[in-house]
Amino acid sequence: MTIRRTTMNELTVNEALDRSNYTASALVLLRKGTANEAKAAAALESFIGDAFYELAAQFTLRGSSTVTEQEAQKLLRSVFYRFDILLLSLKNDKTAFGVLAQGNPEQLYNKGSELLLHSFFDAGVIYNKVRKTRSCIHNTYYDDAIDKEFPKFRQSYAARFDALDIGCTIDYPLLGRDAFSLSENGIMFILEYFKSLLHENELMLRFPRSELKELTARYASPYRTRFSDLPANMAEIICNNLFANLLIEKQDLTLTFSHEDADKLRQYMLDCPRSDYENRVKKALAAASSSLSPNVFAYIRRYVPAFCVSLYEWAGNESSRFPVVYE
Amino acid sequence: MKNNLANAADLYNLSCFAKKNELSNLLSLNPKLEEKGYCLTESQARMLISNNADSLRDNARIEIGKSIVTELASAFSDSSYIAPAEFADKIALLTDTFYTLRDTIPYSIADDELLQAMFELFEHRCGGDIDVLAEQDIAEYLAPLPEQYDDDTEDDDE
Repeated sequence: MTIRRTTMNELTVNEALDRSNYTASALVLLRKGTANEAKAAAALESFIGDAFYELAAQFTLRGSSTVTEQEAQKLLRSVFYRFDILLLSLKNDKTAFGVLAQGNPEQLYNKGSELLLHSFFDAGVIYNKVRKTRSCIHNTYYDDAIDKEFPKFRQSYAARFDALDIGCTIDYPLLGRDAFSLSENGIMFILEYFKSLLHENELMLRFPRSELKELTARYASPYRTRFSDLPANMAEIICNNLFANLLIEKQDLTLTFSHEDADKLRQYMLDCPRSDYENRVKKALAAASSSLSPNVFAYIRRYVPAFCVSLYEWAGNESSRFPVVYE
Repeated sequence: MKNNLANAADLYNLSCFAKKNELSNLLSLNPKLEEKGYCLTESQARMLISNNADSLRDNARIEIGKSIVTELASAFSDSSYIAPAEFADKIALLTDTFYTLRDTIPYSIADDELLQAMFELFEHRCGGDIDVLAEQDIAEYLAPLPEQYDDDTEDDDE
């Protein structure tokens, strides 16, 4: 994200805020800003120092005059994280920057601490929904994320002293993105991941088990293994077929894709410019959206550009895999 | 997870909060030290502060409270093994040992308890040898006595 602001001497500054290190990067901007912003940066830094030493004292039960460098890093990151979680919740760089420049550091820190606590409870609520709506299709990576990794997180997460370490490793990818590619850290990563998984579960619930079973089995067939052993996202396989059907103008949200459909799709790709794919899928998806919840619709709509890219890649390189599963 | 772990800490230099009154704290010990035949000159105090910083770095530790050097000098001024001429050098060596031993015990054991244990071991088990002290199993020494032992002691008392 880019932030543009005009300082008192009409100087325009464009600088990046790093989402994985939000407050720290905003602090760098503040230091370089106007006199008032530099003053706010100094006050913030002073508060962060005090908060760090207080947290370190709590961590050592007020009994030690030192901590290891590794522990100090975790504690300092936990202080920054309380600001990060609050500022990122504002969902707007300019607003967040303004809050940091004008807000009282102690109040921001306390609000961030509260939000951190609430987020931990929210994560539990979302996780329970994910469990209730879980897919009937067995996949080891998906099952591990739900049955092993989240419980590990819940058991080991130390929001107070090590807010960034989620204490688990999630390998099951999300629709169009790997879990490790998410920009969120700590509890915000867990929330984003499991909210996404909930949308994917809701999408999967829309289709009969037999249809999903057949689709995933077909998907796994060229790999000569069971679908359960593949680190593949189920919602992505569904969306690929849905979107391909929308491109060839099938009206309903259907997964079935025949050889004839594949021929139609090839013909469509020969006839239409690439720039049309995305709009066409989005338009058709919007028309068929009444059968999806607004959240699921918005979620899968974000995948349309990535789907179109995989189609381009396939069209330009026959050795790359056709993203659609067909009979 | 791709946390940029270094950035936050790089941005915020923890050492900027180094205690500025460390020197005066150490020198203020002199009246007490003099009663026991010891004294720290200003250059010795500076050497101890500098040695403490090196020890912290070598042991990958960050100071978050009052410097341990003053506490060490105060505690070991009661030693029967340290000659006045070698007091500052011994405190410097004990600082290194303190941080080495600190790494082996949990934070539920406070610095004060560690200092006391170091002193007891130095005086009664190690014969004033700092190398021997550094090899002691301090965690075991500080571990609570087994319940059985407590019972026996109570019996003896009765």
